[in-house]
Amino acid sequence: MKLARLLVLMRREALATLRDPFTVSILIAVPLVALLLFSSILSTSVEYLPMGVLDLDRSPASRRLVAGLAATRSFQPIALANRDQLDEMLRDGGLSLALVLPDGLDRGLRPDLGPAGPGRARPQVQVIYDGAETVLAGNAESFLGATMAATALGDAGVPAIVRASGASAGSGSVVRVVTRALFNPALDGKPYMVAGTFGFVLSFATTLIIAVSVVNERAAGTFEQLQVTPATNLEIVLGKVLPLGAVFSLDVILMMLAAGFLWGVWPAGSAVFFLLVSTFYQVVSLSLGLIISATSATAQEAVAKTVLLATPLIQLSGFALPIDNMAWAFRWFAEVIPATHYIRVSRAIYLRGEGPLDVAGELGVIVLMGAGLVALALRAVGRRA
Amino acid sequence: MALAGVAAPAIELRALRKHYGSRAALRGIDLAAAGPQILGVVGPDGAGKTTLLRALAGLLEVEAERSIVLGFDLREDTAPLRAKLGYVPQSFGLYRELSIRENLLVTGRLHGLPDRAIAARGEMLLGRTGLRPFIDRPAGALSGGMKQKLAIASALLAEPRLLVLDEPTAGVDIVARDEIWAILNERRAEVLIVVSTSYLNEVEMCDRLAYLEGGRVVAAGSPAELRAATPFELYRVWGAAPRAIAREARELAFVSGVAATGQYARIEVPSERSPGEAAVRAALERLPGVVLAEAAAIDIEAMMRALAATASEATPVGARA
Repeated sequence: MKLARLLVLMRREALATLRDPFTVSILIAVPLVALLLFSSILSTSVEYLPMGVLDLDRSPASRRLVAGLAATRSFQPIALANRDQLDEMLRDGGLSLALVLPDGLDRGLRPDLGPAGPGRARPQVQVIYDGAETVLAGNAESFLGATMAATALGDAGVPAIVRASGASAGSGSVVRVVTRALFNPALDGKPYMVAGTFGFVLSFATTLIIAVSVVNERAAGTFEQLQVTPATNLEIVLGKVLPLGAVFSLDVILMMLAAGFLWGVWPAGSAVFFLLVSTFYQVVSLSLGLIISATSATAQEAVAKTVLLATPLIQLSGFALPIDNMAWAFRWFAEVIPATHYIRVSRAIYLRGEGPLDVAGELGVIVLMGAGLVALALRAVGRRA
Repeated sequence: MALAGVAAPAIELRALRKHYGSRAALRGIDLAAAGPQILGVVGPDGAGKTTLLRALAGLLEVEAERSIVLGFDLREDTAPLRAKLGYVPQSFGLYRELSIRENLLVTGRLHGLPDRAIAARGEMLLGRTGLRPFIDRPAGALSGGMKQKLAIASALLAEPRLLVLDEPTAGVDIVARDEIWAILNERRAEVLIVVSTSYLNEVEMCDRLAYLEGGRVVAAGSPAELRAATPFELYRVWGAAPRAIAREARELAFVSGVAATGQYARIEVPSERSPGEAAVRAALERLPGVVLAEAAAIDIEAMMRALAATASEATPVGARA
């Protein structure tokens, strides 16, 4: 490989790209639009959720709990007169969830009366939610647990039980509330989705744009024209993907700045480390794009293949849906998807501020997958017709 | 099929085959050519002309008993070969977003030419092609003929030993076509040029021809050799109404093809069916309105028709010459 030839090809690609307003606008708009849309629409934030409160205790403790929940602005407490009203409003959709504070709550919490024991049951707060709104209610449930844990009730060790109404109401399934939001205590969905959106953009948009770009070049005859020069296949491929990779790295910076200035979502860890990881991850997506381009005769075919391939992969990568909630076969399958590992690393850096040593395992998997895909891509692109 | 007078061939193909899946595009090409000349690749649509040219340019995986081009084997890594030839595909393959100057710079630099040499050769080629006034215009904004001239200038920039052109004048106006052929004519003494074409006057301008049919070379030789080997007799029949004469002539048993021009009817008679020149002329002169029937030299059109007619027999015309 000759650096001089590679530079000629890269300069050519950069010039051609910059002179095509459509491509430039796509390269800038797609990541930003994805960031804005996904962080807003798919956000798992809980805000002003209508929450019925059936306060059977009417004590200082119960009022303190309701006031505490209202102060978070995540819930909008609606006082309920009785259980019938609670059931009716949940059925009508007037409530997303309801809180039943039992009679004796305040008394049960009083330390001077001694610890809970066989003769004195611990008070139980009941959370009832609409089983048809599992994702929203699940988030509310987690948030509620976290909020309660931060109140006097939580300090006093009040267990809460959660019961789904609607489809599963009859089953009477009872689960303990488990606080899972160790690094995102407010359960603000935006950082979670921002960190995931990097995975979407760098997996889907990158693959799509490189695949279509290469197919178009082949259809236009420019790739063939390059092949009748001393440029090697490796130089031709690198001359194409390196400038595009640089643009996508700029997109990562753009998205980081947009998320930071628009929503105050900045990486908890090192921004430079995140940029380096994201830049390397593009090797995986660009290789995938090259493989798709090598097996597609037209741009339409490349688009169709990318959508068919990337959409389920992104859905299984934990971008929007938690992998832990999937069937075991899909959980295993998710592990062979590069985006799964990148999104884990992205969230680790963005939400938990983790460094290279903390995510070394995931990075290793990405490197291995990248090496395999690069080898396949070079073979696919270098093959003569 | 070896061409007459060939020594140390720059192109030497024996039983060259190319399949796209189950479809055979080339079924066993035998072809050889050496030294500077213009080798025309002709034949009907779908005969395999473009596939053969792409194979010659090292762009295809092929099978063959022997497949040497400029000393490189087409069955092996063709990167060194591709670096030494100029290739002009049927459709414009340079960068539409870049100007003429930038396109030449990219090509020249990829060939390792110093910028000064690129400028000097580019100046000469642009002057020859008439593109100099448009040097800063994006290639995508050029006319079809200008694009083809730029593609040829780009292919010639690194002074290749072999220039492969796939129908370079297709869809190009007559002026640009003449200019393109003028460029090729200037280089026929220096470079081996392989060009495919569908235009009869361009076929006539080639030093040698390879006629393809069904993925095989069924005839090869110089235009004169192929004309001499054409198993047809050609007659011109003069009269006041050439169209009516042509219609009448079509009814004669030994006539295979007729055409009418403004002045005469053009009659083709396969040699195997001909009762002899005198008998043919006498029969033609007996037709209504005929003033004179005369034997004519086989022209390129008759030669091509004869090649097309005999191609199905897959008998190399050149071999009979």
